[in-house]
Amino acid sequence: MRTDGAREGFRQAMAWLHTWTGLVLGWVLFAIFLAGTFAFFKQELNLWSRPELHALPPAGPLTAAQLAQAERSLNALAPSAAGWRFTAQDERRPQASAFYREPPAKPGERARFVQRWFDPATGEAVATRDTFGAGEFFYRFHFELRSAQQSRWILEGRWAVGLATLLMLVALLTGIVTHRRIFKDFFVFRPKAKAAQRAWLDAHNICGVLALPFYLVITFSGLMTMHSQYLPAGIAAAYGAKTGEYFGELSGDGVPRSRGREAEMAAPLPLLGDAGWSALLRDARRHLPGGRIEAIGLQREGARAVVEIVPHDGDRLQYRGPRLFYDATSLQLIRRADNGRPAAKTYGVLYGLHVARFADPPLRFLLVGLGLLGTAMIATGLVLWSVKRRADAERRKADPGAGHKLVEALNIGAIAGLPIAMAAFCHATRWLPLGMAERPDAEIKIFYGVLALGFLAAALGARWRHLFAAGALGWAALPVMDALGGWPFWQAGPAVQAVNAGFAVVAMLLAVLAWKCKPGAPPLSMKKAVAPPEALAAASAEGAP
Amino acid sequence: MTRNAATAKTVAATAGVPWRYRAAVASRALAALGGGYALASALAAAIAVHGQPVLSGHRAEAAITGVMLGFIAYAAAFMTAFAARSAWRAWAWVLGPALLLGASVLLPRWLG
Repeated sequence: MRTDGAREGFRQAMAWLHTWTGLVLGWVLFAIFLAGTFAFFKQELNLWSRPELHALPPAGPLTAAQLAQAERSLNALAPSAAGWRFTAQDERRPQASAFYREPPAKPGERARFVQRWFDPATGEAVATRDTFGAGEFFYRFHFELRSAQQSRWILEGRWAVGLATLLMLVALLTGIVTHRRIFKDFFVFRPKAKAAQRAWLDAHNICGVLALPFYLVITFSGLMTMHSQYLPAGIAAAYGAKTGEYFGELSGDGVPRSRGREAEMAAPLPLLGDAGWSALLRDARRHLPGGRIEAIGLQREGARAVVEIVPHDGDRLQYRGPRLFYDATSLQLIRRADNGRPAAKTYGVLYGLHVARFADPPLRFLLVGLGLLGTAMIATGLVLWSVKRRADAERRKADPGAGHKLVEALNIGAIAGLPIAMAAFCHATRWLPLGMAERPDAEIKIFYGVLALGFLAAALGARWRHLFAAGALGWAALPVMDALGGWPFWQAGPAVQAVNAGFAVVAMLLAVLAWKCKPGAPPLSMKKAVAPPEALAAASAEGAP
Repeated sequence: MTRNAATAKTVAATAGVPWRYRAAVASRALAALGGGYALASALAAAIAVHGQPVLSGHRAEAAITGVMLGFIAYAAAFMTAFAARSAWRAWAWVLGPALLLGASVLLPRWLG
């Protein structure tokens, strides 16, 4: 897009588009990528936020006795619940948990979801603090910019994230078009190049090229996870207003659930007891050879109560796995739900790749590395925009203008400020008074408050190093606080200790960034170029969007 | 250079961009976002409705295929809107196929 209206080539047009799609929602994208990267450890971070569960021993397999005890506890806690879903312990979670819907206190109000935690060894409920959970919050922030526990803005947040994701997809595709030398870019980095712009471009290219397939898959699958909200026209054309039928058929289960009022008025849920659960588990394990069971649901389908058995999500790439449905009274298998048709499977595998439930620890760490690389790609792109503007302005001996100052302040506030806010959230899950009303909302307010303070500090002239250093302190304080705060630090299992170690690593990364941005050494020094002149010339011809 | 002179220069530089250019960029952005969404929706609906015989005769298969191809068409339309030679062409490229596909879904309903 040239201002003089002259014709330009496809590559130039795409370079222009890459610059502006990247900038417009770049800060939101940065937040989505960073929070999404942390969400790869959602369960471990949730566990870290609830020290009451830290002393639980490593969990064994799911047993019928445990289920029967949990069923008795649930029946006592919520005798009028219309259904519940029990999630078993596994190698990532030493605790079991259950969700149930509490019928509305007054007619006309919405049913409330309640989550409880269970000790797998005894099956007894464990009282935990009221917290959103750091993993759950980073996960929710990552795809809906969650602003409160019961937020009115969830759909709007998802739209904003969807728009950012679309722009990300366009930025990736135009970035590929802009590059002629994708393979060469693997090996080109000139941190001591004459112009800072050159070095930032190299850094952006390396981050972009190294993990390009990961970015394409994570971006496209991200759009797909929310597809019924983003692109409902096709579903509406085929199903009319019956979206529930669509989701049922897509997951291979044609039977709609009765979630209406009649289900809540129905008779109380049956108790299966030790004998019932052991018969069910035995039969389910026969149908799912070698598979672990992740979750068990009990709910109503019309007049009868039905047990749903869900195999472990981590055992299959396609999300969701096959599910078994039993009649809760006769204990007979009613049906098996699964969808192996090609398009549904493609969608399921994309979904599965996005949520990465299959990843064992080494792969999970690799995914986190790729996520951080993507975060760095977005950050270097944003910095590149402002470095390039400044270089242009210096060449023309002009003031870079208010727009440039705004972008620079937003860059510092978003890129260096977000990690501080995330650390503050983790602190809040531990430190806020336990008896406080609306405690999860207070945690989220602290997150946004600290984020706003970061932007304010950047607007008032705080530099990169100040905010990075503050972030490093915030993250470093987390494991120290866990050790000294009177929590069961020494009894905690490997998952909690790994989270503490991870916090220390994040603190170190931020400290290195703060050190690199210290005033004595300009970010990327103005020493003589070490690259041969012809390479530089070729690169500057290529890298000029 | 004094602060005032610098500000004056910035203003001059900003004013140097003709309004026609700004209008063209805005028009293309609208074609990309709004027109692209119309194209993506029309393609998703057309595949969901007409694609069933090809896609194992199953409507969930056709619907989910439509969504996946719709997102790809959206990104392609976005790029087309800025690659086209003029803003008018951008609209034509994006809205033309959207109208054709949309008509293939809606006309049979309205007429039948």
